[in-house]
Amino acid sequence: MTDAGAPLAVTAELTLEAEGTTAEIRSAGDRLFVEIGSVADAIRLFRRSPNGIEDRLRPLLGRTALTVEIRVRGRTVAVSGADSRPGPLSRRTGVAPDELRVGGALSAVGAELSAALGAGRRLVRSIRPD
Amino acid sequence: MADAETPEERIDETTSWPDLAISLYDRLTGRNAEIIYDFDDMQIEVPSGTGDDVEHAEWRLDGTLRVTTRERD
Repeated sequence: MTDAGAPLAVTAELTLEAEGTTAEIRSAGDRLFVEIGSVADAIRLFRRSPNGIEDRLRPLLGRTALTVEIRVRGRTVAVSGADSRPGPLSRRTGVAPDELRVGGALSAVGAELSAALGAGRRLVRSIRPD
Repeated sequence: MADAETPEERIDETTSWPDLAISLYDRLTGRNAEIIYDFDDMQIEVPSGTGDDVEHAEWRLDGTLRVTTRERD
């Protein structure tokens, strides 16, 4: 990975639809945010991505000094590129030099459970006789 | 990819999206250039790998991507 040359700035307002999943891609500067609606959608999207895409993207992100943050429900669950800081979990799971954020992932799962419980309560209230 | 190649030569020999992106980056660098991609519900058949019997996923891309060079921090 080389960092020779000038880094890039990216401004993005993109919507990506793949396999029934929608991802919003936003950026203003050196950091791109890929926002995905649920943990299940994120897993589905990355399972269906081209084989080895992360290995091909890493050198590009390093050379252009760009960072990509994968976010689920507003919580960052993974970071790749110039500002990724892989910890022991990332190394143990083999995703280093990408960074896994277990706190963000747990928080995203918690937000999903909370949303599901809220929807369940609303459903019960709607069918309960007054 | 030989170091002696020009960015134009590299674009001609591009075989993958990351290679193309790096070649475009070479063209941008030092020229104060700006590239704007405007995707209008573009459909892409994305192969799972290389070879004859790979699966293809349909991706749809909509929106704008603007790329410029910037000063190193």
